[in-house]
Amino acid sequence: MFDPSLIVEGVISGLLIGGVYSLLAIGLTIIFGVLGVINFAHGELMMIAMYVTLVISNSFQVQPYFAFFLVLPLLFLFGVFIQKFLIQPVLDAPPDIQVLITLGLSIALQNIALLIWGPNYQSLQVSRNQSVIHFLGYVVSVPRLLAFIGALTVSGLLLVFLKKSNLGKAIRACADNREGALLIGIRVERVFLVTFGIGAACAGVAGVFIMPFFYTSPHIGLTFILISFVVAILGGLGKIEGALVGGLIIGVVESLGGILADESIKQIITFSLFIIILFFKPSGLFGKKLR
Amino acid sequence: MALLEVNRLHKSFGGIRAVNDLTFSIEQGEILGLIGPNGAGKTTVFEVISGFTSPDSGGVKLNGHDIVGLKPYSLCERGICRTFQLAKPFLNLTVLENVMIGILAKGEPVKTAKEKGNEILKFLNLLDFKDIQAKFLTIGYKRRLELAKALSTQPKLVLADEVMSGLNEKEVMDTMDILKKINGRGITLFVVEHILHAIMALAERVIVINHGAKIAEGTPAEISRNERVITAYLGRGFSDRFQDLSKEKR
Amino acid sequence: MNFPSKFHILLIAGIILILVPFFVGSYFLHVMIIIFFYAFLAESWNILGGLAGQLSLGHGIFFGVGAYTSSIMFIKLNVSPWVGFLVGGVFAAVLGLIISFPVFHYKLRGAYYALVTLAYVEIFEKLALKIEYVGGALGILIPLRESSLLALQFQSKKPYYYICFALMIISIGITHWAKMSRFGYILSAIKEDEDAAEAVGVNATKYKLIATALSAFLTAMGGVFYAQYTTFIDPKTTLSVFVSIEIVLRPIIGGVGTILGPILGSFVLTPLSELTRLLIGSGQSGVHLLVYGIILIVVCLRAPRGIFVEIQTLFRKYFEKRRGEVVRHYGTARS
Ligand SMILES: Nc1ncnc2c1ncn2[C@@H]1O[C@H](COP(=O)(O)OP(=O)(O)OP(=O)(O)O)[C@@H](O)[C@H]1O
Ligand SMILES: [Mg+2]
Repeated sequence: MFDPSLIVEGVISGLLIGGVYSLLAIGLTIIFGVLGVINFAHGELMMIAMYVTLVISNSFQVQPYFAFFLVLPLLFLFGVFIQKFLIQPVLDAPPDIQVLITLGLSIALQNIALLIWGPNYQSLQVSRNQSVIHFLGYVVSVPRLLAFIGALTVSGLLLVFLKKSNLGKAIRACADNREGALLIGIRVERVFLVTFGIGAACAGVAGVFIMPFFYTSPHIGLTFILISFVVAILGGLGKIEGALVGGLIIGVVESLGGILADESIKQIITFSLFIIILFFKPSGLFGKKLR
Repeated sequence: MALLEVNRLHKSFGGIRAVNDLTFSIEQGEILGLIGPNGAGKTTVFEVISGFTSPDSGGVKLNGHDIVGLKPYSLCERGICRTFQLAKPFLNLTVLENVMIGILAKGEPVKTAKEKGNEILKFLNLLDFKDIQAKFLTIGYKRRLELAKALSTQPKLVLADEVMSGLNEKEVMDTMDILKKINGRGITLFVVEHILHAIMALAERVIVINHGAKIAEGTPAEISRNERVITAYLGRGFSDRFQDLSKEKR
Repeated sequence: MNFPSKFHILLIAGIILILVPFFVGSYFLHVMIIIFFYAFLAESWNILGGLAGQLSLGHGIFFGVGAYTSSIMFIKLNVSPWVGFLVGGVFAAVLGLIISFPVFHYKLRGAYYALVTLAYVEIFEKLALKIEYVGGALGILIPLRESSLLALQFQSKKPYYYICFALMIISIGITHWAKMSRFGYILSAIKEDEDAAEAVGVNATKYKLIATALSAFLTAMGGVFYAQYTTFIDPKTTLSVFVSIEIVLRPIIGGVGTILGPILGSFVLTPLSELTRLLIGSGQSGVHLLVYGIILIVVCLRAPRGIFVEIQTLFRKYFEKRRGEVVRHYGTARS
């Protein structure tokens, strides 16, 4: 009934976009791991980055990838700003308040985008890169491949940064044990700022890489926030390597779902999967316990 | 027949054996102590008995009935109530309201719950604070409120997890009196405590566990003479102090 | 109680509100109707979200189930929306029980609960978009029959006004009862600390399910009213996360878990959206939601217990100072 090569191509294309999901979810998961905050505005951060990419590419008629160099610092700073003025003040408040404040931020960002860019779906104007390469006889889309390589490179660099640099080690120490980190003299507040910055930048970069073969709209964040939750929880909330693998899995699941059924069924499948994981394995595929 | 029988209980978290082949029983009306070094598995024993975690294997019987797998609230209905090592009062409720919940959960109307709640607070010398939100209590009173909440469920067996830690000497004495008073009402007590002289003075029998397994059981005097306990639990350097404690008791 | 009693203030406010329709035009009535309408929804959410402390983002489902059930019965079976209130409410309550049981059973709390309910509402919206029988993406246009109480359709706004007012009063009454009763005490314990509540014998799952069913039932009634009042429903406007958000914002900003906070929330926020609609024109602009989002952020930062509690505290301090009393720094969350 199905052409098997269609399945293989689905898997490949799923893996490729899965890389972007990984990066997005790494941003979510690192914020949770260090701060214990689930950032409900994560999808909107990506949405903003997508619009920035769109604007740069459309107004200068350049390849969208150039936006990387603006989006990365911009979103990093935005993340630092969010942490400093919104999250930091409520870190000791009841967890619901943290959910609500990021929810408020997501509502605000959605509607700012709606005001500026209007409700319609938009994609890039520069001649869309539709090129494909042939790999072992299967068709592979080049923009997706670039997105995959880009996202994984950034993820890899981030991992190296966390493992090797002093700041990275401090971040991991805070994730392991906040009080302990304080005791050994780590300036926790500064680590928090950087962490949120990194988390936001991950969402931003994911937005840049996905834009060449995707579209954006003010409410697109909702799709991505749920996907990044699925990925992060599948990988075990707070675990960066988990999010990396989880992204690839969800990418493939979604892509295969897309072959077998249409767009909205595909989303129903992904979200149902999410709920089922939360019921039966809330600590993720690789985890023992939450935090 | 014993009130509670625990038979060959096992519980692991990942690679850690929190409870390892533990067997003991609690007699109706007694005060039983449970001691052991940090991480020995004491709280885990309580969590299993009170239904907050399920054991990997082994049995727990209340009055001869198997209770493994029952939920905390239904165990509470059957008379087992635990306190939390990190006191968990309902922070934004008043002290009286804190105590009312257990009574209301039994199906009593609000008015009765208020009356009975007041009685319990009086019994534990908490009446002065009844209209204060629990979050404003000192740690000492928070711990006492834990006991008050436990009493509100009309328990047969109270599992008291370090209700004296972090208290000053006077408060420890008060809490010991309270525990004796509670026991005097026919309520069986199973007490985990790090403050050794307190538990030695309080308990009729003490169980010592280390790495989840029982290493000794007996009267406080026997325990304090037990070589295994002294080495495993306290380290050799402390044995003298331990001997002093058992003298103090007599 | 030396300050003006809450009861008297409410009584006077009630009388004024009953007389209002005789003095104002239909646009003003419309604004009042949607204020009552959102106040009713806010209060309905408050039973689960406020009293029981479960941050549901899934109330769009219950709203939608109410709206769809009654509309379909109205169109295809010619059943009065009054029956729709009941049937839609029961459907929503039962659905709420079914989808919430595993969530509570597997102890998904706090942010996890919010996440699951968010995923649920997305799933149900997508399903509604797929099902042709309920109009799919096109939605359902409710035909205007005759202006009658039975059909819940009127030429004048006045009947809608009184119906919606009654709904709001009923929701306040139910919340008041719920809060003062055994049920409310137990919910407040669950909200504070579920483990501690279970330790003193509370079957938390059971009580959360009861709160869910009650809250879902009332929310569905709101959906029924909406369908008859606007005469058009589709998944995006009645069964989506956007509906959930509209429902959630008012009680949280007004004062979660209080009896009158959600009502106040609607009286503050709803006119704002009308104002921006007047100033900017289309309702699609999103300006009002932008404002709501910012208000939500500010409330989280400055008045996390909501504006009602903030105002109440101000009042108390003022009157206690006048009486020369020391301002007490404690009270109870249940006041
Ligand atoms: N939920 C859990 N997940 C993983 N490990 C756990 C969990 N609960 C307890 N442990 C581990 O099981 C062991 C026993 O813990 P437990 O809290 O029962 O000890 P304890 O005797 O009460 O210690 P303390 O005197 O410090 O209170 C410890 O090593 C602890 O780290
Ligand atoms: Mg312990």
